Amino acid sequence: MLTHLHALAAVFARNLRIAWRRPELLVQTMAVPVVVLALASVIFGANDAWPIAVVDEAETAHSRQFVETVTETRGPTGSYFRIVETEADAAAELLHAGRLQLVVTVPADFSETGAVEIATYNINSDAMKNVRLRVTTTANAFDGATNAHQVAAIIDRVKPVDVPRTAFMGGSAVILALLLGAAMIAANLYAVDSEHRTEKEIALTPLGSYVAGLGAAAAGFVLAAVAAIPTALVALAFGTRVGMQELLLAAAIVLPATAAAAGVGVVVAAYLRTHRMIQPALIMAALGSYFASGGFISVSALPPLARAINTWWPPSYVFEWSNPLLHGFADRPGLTEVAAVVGAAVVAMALAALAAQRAGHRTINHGQ
Amino acid sequence: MHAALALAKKDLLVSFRAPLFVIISIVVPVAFTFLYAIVVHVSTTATIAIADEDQTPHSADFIAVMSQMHNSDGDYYEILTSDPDQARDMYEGADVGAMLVIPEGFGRSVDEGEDPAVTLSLVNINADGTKNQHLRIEEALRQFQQTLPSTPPDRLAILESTELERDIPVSVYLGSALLLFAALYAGIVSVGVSIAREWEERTAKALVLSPSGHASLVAGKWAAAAIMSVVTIAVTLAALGWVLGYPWHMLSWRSAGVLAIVWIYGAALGTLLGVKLRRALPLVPVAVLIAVAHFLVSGYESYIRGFAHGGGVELLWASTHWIPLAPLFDVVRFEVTSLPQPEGAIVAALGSLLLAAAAVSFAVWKLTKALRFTQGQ
Amino acid sequence: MNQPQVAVDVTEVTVEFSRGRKREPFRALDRVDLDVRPSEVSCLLGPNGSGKTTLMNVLTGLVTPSSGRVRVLDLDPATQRRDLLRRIALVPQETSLYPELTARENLTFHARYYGMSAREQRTRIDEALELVQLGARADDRAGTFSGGMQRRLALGKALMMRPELLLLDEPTLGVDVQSREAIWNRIEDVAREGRAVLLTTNYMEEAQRLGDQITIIDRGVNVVRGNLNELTSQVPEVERVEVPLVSLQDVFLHFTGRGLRN
Ligand SMILES: Nc1ncnc2c1ncn2[C@@H]1O[C@H](COP(=O)(O)OP(=O)(O)O)[C@@H](O)[C@H]1O
Ligand SMILES: [Mg+2]
Repeated sequence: MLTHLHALAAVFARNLRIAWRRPELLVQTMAVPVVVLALASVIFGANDAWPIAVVDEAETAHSRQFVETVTETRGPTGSYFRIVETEADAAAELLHAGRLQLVVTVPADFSETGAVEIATYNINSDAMKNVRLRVTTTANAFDGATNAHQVAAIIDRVKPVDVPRTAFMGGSAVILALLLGAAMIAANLYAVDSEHRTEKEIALTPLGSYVAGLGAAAAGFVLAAVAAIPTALVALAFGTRVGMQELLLAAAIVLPATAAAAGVGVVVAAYLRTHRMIQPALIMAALGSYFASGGFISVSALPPLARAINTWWPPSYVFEWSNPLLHGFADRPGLTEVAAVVGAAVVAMALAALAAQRAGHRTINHGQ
Repeated sequence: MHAALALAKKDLLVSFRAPLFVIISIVVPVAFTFLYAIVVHVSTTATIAIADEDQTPHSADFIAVMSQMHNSDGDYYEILTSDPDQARDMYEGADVGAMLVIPEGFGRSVDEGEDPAVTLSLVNINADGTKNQHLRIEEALRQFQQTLPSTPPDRLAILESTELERDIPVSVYLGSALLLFAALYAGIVSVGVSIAREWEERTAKALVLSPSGHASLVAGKWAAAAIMSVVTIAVTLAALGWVLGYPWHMLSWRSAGVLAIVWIYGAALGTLLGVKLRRALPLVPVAVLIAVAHFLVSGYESYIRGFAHGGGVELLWASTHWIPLAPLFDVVRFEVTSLPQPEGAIVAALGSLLLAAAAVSFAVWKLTKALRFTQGQ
Repeated sequence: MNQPQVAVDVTEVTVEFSRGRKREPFRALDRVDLDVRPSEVSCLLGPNGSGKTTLMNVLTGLVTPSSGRVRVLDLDPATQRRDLLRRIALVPQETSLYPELTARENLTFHARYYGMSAREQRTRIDEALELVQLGARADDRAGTFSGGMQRRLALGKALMMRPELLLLDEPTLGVDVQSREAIWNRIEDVAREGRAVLLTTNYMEEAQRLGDQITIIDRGVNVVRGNLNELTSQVPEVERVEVPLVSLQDVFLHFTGRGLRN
């Protein structure tokens, strides 16, 4: 037993040394979530207050009141519009070029007709749905000022302040960085042997090749924390804020999940063997999970097909269970949830050991 | 020419003998586009549970308004239930992030001209979701209000004119981007990896020492990669057709040309990466990053253009002036939607090809100039 | 064909690399001289890291020397590389074979990629397979071959091209005695046919057996050049190690036989 532990420690230490000598092993794992988070935060985090043009051709008290309403149209997260242009010609030009997606014109006869004109750059139906619904919100506000007896909606939120979209994305991205980091580092470290043709030596250890699998998984688990640091910094920069207690609570889910990911990484590496196959599979599966399995938007808000698929896709549970803890929407992790991830970690580690052991047999039998 | 064909044939034969790599190369980008595609409609349809505690014709009307709201992409609401108990259970159990309570007395308030109100409860763990729900309920309120006889006739009217003849459906908008992503990814990764592989397996020296020259090396690699990429793109298209109902029959020679240009652009970057890095270990993540970044930036360009007023977005948008790929994405979208072609497509096509040519020339030059082999080779 | 008087003429060639963390300049070759004549086997002898492979790379134009004169078949490898590559063949130190392809497929690919006409291919490939005694295993994947077989296949690839100058970088490294004999015999045949051979090695008996001319380099510097007699005569009588009349190799071959083990 003790010799086995010694062997495991030796493999673990060797792996840390390899990672230290070849920093690209870590850097490349860091780069993927960092870049994706930064780009997605800038692109999808930008449309809170929509830049628009409002052209007031009436210049009456009534029309000014409308323009005022546009400016003041708010959702639960802040203003819906930001007026960046008021000149008719310039606005038309910007719209034609797609530099603006909405131009609101209050025509000269506004007081008689009670109609405003909107012109849209309808580049996609999703953006346009958003634009039109925002205009509806303005219309409701405008009519509500003149007619008090309107049907209204009281919005009741679990927390007084929403978690900003980029903050949600940032939190998930750190989870992604941990899971992907663990899987990828463990897999690449394991594959170093098959790529460097040292696998036979490893396979011939009298203790069994499983040691190589567990050693790689352990190193992946530990180094994932390092690999996630840059993502965490980017998340901080884009407004993710998490308290100490929330962090610890979420760790009860995320840490075992990271261990499970490290185990899965070794299993993948044992079967795919080379970096050129391991990496695309792991990276793209991770990115796909981020976008489609609760990293970007909670699973419960996804379309039915996505919800159905995510029932069977383990990473979605990691996001779904840890995000509420991370952002203070749950007091403590459920016992079954913790049991499930810990169980997954144990199973994944066992599979990693098994896969490595079997890979060892394959190597010896092939006798390179 | 013969040399290039020989190399392509060799690559295909090797792939056929060890097909796992081919399978991975095809499955991975298809899986990613599939996953992305299944969430494309996420902000079209919002899931909600309704606790109809009023149970009057008015509350039923309100629910009817909600269930009829839609745009060309689909319904605005997926109403999971209107049973009060079930709705509360779902909301409390975190199976749904939004619950609308139509309180008892809602119908009476409407009839009596008092101030009727519904309550929208939200798990505001993501402001985007909150906003989505808020915007929808505003629309529901407006439409419902419109049906009431008590509503004064002088309400604000909104007359809309659109720049394009019709909206480009989001499924087409993102579906096209995903299709081009698949072409780009296939180009970068398959060419890059197959070049790096010659170094990893120590067979590169024999290739470089052939009198056929480096152009044959690049051409052969491209030819084999092109065949595999065609399969990748075809499978992606099938997946998009299935998940998004992507109208692939609308694609014509123009879109095929765009796909080819984007692939060539990717293959050129892949060539450069392969020659420069020579190892799959750093190459694959770099290639993936390049492909995903192009997808997010160039693929969304015509959308972010409208937001790019100040801040990080404007900087990001400015970067698309230097990478001419963005208009190509629109070419495909406009074609599939039967809209007149956008401006700047020719420039984009030529610019992309020019960049590709520059990348390949640099790679070939690199091959001649800096032949570095690992120790002993 | 206008056969040049010397196949390889290297005069005072220096190659510099930078190495280590600090990218310190480092001379892999320092004013090295070498010549190789047709119909001869020239051996470049030297310990590991002495610069043998680097010199080979200079001859094929893969490395450009910082100073010195290099002529290979009367061509300059740096500027006339294409023409040169048509007339030489290199067996690299590390076997470059595609393990997924059969022996024949490896040769076919090489022939095509090196621009051999389709007409010539068939006969030359079969001929090469016979020359290196792999005819029986022609349709087995190279990945299943032993080290010796892989080296022979690599040699077959080069022989198939019928080069005027054959460059062999440590061709018998880690090869069994039977394969080594086969490789040596083929190399001698090439020289007998009037072509030039340059081979690097750090096996004494290889140089002794094959070398018409022997050049010894160490740490990138010429140590000594000449034929075997010239070299041995330079060593004073007292320092010479007694050479038994029958070498160990003869004994080994006698008892294990000359048959190849595929
Ligand atoms: N590309 C290179 N960059 C830096 N140093 C090199 C390079 N190639 C070879 N060397 C160094 O040049 C010396 C000679 O190497 P090499 O020619 O491979 O020796 P040999 O073939 O005799 O064993 C060695 O010390 C080696 O480390
Ligand atoms: Mg050498």
